[in-house]
Amino acid sequence: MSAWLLEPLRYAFMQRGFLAALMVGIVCAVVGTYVVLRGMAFFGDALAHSILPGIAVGYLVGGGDRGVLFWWSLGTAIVAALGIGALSRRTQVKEDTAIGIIFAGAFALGIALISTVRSYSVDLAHFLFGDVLGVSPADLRLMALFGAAILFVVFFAYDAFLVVSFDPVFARTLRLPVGFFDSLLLMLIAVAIVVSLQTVGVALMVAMLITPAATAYLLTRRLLAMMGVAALLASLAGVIGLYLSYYFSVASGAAIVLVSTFFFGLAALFAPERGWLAARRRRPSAHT
Amino acid sequence: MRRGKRRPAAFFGGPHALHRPGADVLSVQGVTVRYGPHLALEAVSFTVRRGEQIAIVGPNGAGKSTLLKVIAGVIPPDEGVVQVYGDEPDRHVCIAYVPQRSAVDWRFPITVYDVVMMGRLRKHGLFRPPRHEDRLKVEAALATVDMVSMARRQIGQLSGGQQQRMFIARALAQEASLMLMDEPLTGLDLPAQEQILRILDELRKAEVTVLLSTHDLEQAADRFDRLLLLRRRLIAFGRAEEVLRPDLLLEAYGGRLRLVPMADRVLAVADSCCGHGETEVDR
Repeated sequence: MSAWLLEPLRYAFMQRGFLAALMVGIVCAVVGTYVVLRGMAFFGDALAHSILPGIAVGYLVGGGDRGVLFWWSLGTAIVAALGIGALSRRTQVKEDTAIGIIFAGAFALGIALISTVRSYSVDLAHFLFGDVLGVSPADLRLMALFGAAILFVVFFAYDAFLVVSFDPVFARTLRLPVGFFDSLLLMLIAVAIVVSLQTVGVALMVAMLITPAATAYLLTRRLLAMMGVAALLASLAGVIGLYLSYYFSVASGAAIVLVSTFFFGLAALFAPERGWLAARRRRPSAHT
Repeated sequence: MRRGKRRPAAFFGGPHALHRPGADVLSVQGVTVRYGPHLALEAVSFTVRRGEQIAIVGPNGAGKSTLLKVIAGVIPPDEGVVQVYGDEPDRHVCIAYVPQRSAVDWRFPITVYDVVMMGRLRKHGLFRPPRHEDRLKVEAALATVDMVSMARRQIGQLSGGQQQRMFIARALAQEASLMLMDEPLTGLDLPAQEQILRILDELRKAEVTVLLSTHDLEQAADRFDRLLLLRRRLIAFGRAEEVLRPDLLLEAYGGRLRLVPMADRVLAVADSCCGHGETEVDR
């Protein structure tokens, strides 16, 4: 058993993969807690997809250099986050329609740009579905740096995010700059997405944000506990997913998301208060 | 929602305005609020004295919630001026806004204690943890509304009356001198209403000024110093016998009110509490 567990760790690329999966899992889970509580899942999905043109330009400009790619993604993500945020506040069409149009358009632009390069099908797949086993030490350093920055901001703005998310009108009577914290949160989501890009790619990104957080939501009754449980579940899913990927040759991003989804299924059924079984027990059928 | 002008100094709260001596607790002058083409409030003017308890009554869509939010400094008026202790409301943190219960997500992972502690956020600072003093204030607030034993509950496990009392505890923890309550009694059974009315009696002793919107005209008449009858415009403002006159009530409620003549007075029964499909927006 232990040989089975240790075997993948002999490879440096697997070690880096595990570290990346852990970091991404924790950062996405913490930020994802707000995504779930504020009902921003669609926004997160749209944002992840909207980064693709930025990735494409970074890819074309940098000739495949990971550092260049990272900074282009980060810039695009922040612009897209604030842009979509502004868009959703004032549009003529419904908010989700507006977001949908912009995100599909941006995504198409990204694909169009990447398709101008000859080897595009291979590279596009990396951007769409991630390549956790191709993470370099330099990538890891950037992920650690920005991941730590995100956790730092969440730690310091914890109370403010809590009030602004739970009761924005009350937050305004406390004269908190609600708009500022809303934008800050959008930026945190954007950075978390960029940090996670290599691990799961844009297509499955939303799962990293919402699935562990939603699972934790079913199991906890305080925000801090929800964050902790979400981070734990996400780390676990990352590690298990990578083992599955190694031994069964499954795409790593997909494996991680599938494990996460499995956890959610278990919680949805068996969570002590909010699970399906608990709800059934509370409401016995009318025949009894 | 429209966004008010913000002074840079007040970005993280800043130093909040001092109470000017001699100024009314609340002065509303010619306040008009529009939602697009729709007039929510039209030229509303009145003043409130310290420690008064005012009931705001009127049909659905009359602008009761809007009025409370304008006073809270959450919605900037399109015309007119609101002053709290002589300054604009958005420079004060002594105003507590108690929302309708439907305003928040009751499944949110947060305990009663955490919600009440939000009232202390301004006191202990945005980036600092609560101090011992803050915990004492929270516990005292919970005791006042008789919710100590519920402190560790997730908020979704509370009854309607308990939810409302939790919000009032948050306002108490805030140590507000002006409390704005948006329909705290609506949808509660009589014992739960009575509990909240008893808390209002406590607030009266502490000279906290209260503005409360309600659908219950009789309760408003019995328990409050003055009534403010609203239907977009201010129809009447004064003691119950001055406000609950058939002609004024007819003007406010139109056909949606039944007037029942009693021995000594006219009993008005508002139908609007359950009215749906109103054309006007009450937000």
